[in-house]
Amino acid sequence: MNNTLPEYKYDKNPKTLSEVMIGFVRNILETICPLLKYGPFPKLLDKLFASQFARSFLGSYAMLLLM
Amino acid sequence: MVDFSKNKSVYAEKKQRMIDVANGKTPDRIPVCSFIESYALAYAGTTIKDVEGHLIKHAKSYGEIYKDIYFDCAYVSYLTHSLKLGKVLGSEVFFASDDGVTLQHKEDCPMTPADYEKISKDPVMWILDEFLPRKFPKFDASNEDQLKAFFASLPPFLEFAGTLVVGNLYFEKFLGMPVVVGGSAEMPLDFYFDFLRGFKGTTIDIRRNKEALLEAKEAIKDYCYDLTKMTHLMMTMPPHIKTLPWLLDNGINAVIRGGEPKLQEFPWILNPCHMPPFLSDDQFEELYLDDFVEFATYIQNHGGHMFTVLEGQWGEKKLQMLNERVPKNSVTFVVENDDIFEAKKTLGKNNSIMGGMPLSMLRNGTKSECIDYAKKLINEVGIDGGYVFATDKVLLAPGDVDLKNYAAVNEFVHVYGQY
Repeated sequence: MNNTLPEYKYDKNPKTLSEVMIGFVRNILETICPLLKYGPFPKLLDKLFASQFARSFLGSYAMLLLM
Repeated sequence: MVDFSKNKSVYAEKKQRMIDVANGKTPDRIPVCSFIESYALAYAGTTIKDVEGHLIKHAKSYGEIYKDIYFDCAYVSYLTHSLKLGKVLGSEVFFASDDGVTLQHKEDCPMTPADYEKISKDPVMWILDEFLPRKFPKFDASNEDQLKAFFASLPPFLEFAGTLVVGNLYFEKFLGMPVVVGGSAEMPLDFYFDFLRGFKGTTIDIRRNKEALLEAKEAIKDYCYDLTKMTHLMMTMPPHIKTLPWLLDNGINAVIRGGEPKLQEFPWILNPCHMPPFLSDDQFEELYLDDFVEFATYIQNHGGHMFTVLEGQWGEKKLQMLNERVPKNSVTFVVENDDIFEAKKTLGKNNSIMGGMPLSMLRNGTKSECIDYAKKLINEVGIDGGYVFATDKVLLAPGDVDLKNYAAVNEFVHVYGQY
């Protein structure tokens, strides 16, 4: 099997691309509703962004780019 | 002045014809469906650049041809790819020809065999975190620049969604014209062929990396199912309040809770099949057929209907295999280069077929030749229902068809094709 990976890869990032996207959406939600930063809401948001629901939307975004 | 009430009843009548064909019932007449993509813009005298960013102009331009030539159904009401989205991310994969209208694309599939192990563990995350940065230069950057690129991609992303909604709404309300495509089902092997490994890579891997490819094919199946569901929900966006409960029900149960979707019997879920012409009959049976049957069954069991384009030439054996396994009335097959008269005898036994009118004849033939051929299609392929009249290929470029011939055959089929 060919084990050569493409050389063009910016691999110095602390976050993955999906973490960047999720972070952006999370920031928007927390800006619109600052209450989400407190109490049980941060953990609920963690669950939301780790859920199949979030994967479906991220996956749909990826698909539109690939099409 | 638009007669919305008349358009409503015309829309319902035309839509019912397509539903009857899909369900194996004989409609009142053979429906005439367009297979028009970017050609619509040329007809309207506009270009891709003219309509980018102008949702209403985009919809109106796409709709012009439907005012002048008879159709029961449109293929799509919008340009099916967003050039802006690619450009904003530094990709030149999609581009317009010099005529400003014909949409083309190059292959850019930077997945290598070394990626199979990772993609098999989590295809969605691999595509997002590794594949997208390879394919789109603006994502191959620092986190800060990736964020800027993602932010920049949102307006064209939303614009594309907007053209879809506005286009379908315009076609329904102002033209009384149903649009057949409402969602996209991509077979797992085609996913690698079309988007990730490409033509050369996938056809080589079938021989040299077969086990890894098969594992990756299984791994990506859930994503393919999810995309079928999500694209159907997004592209069947109800333009009126009556179907809002359906959207809410699916939004909560199928999307948020991850449950089973309730699909609509119309519009249909487009399934472009690209790999099979490059597979032997044995490879097709081993690598492709089971997934195809599974998807057709899934979509039918959830209330939907699959609209498969048999791109290229498949051959009699593959069509027989499909006929033996695909559930009855689950798929409408668009026949491209196979003989549609033979396809009627195999696929047409249990499912409906579409197409048959050679685009080359419409472009180069005489009016009487075209009408004679359309008559043959009606008499042989449409004899007992189960048939939608359409061109054998998609109209893309300005010179693709002689409009007099096209208008003549459509009008002829509409009148002569009564049951």
